[in-house]
Amino acid sequence: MSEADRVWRERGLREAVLAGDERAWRTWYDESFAALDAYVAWRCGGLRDLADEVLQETWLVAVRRVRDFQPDRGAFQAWLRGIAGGVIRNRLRRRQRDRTVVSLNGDVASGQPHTDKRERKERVAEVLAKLPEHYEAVLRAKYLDGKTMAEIATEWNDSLKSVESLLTRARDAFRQTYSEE
Amino acid sequence: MSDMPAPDDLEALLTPNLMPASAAVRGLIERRSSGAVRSRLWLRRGRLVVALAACYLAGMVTIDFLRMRPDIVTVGVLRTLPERIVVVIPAEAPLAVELRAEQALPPEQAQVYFTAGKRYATEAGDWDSALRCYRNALDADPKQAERIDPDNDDWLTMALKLDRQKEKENAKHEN
Repeated sequence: MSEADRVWRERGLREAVLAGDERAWRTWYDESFAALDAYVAWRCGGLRDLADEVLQETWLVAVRRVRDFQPDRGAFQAWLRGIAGGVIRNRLRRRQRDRTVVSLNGDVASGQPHTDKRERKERVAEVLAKLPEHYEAVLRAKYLDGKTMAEIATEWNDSLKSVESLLTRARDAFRQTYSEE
Repeated sequence: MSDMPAPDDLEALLTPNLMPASAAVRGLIERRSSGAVRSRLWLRRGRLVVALAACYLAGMVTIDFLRMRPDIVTVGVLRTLPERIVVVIPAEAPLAVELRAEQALPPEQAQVYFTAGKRYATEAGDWDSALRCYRNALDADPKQAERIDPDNDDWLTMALKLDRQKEKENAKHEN
């Protein structure tokens, strides 16, 4: 499907949803769910409970704010990813706040028991949320979408060297942020 | 956690074994988001109904306003109008008409005398004064005696005209 066709189709779906057409919404939902689910799960470091919460909030925000979606500025999937990114950041911030409970005698106690594995996943989610957008995009293309460097370069209309350099910098930034604190 | 992850660990961290959302979660989100779309439809319909009702009410108010408007105007006009002034123009008395006839010049003089005579006869029943006026009229314009008009002449005028015609005939024979 060409870019013009995508814009035309998504504009039609948007108008239909704004008019209250449930079938149009289901079509959009069914088409986009799996990709958004995979993205959210990846951004949540594979934590299924957090991913479910984020998914639900993302879709509800999307249906409320569908008027803001402009098909000529980008695809619906990208718009959903943007919402999900914001939701993840808010959720992680809240989780971090809830996790650190200060007892009356001043001791800092953990709110719920955490295994090493779970902590590692939460840490991945936090680090991905802190990375700049272009680093997150290249890591996503490489590790979630499983694309080769050449495919990413073609899709982004960029040179192979430039993409490789960006990926190296993104990995370094991830590693650096992960090892902090 | 403070140690730097090795390159292999990094691959493992960024390529987790992702489990897809369960069908229950997918169904729940679909139901909730579709409900929001449905409520948008009802909201839209509600707005339409409210808009139509507003238009209907505006129409009713306009009609009421238009119905009330003439009454308001009438009240305003009545307030500003001056009191009605009745001007009574008294009719000219037969005597006044006779006096006017005396001052008039022929041939109008005959006509005014006839008018005065008619007024004496019909309004005051004063046949003597009427006779005097008719005679003066025929004296002022003798040709009036030659023509009898049954529609306008009363019995006294006709009698006088016939009398004048006979006198004229007799005068002709005598000569």
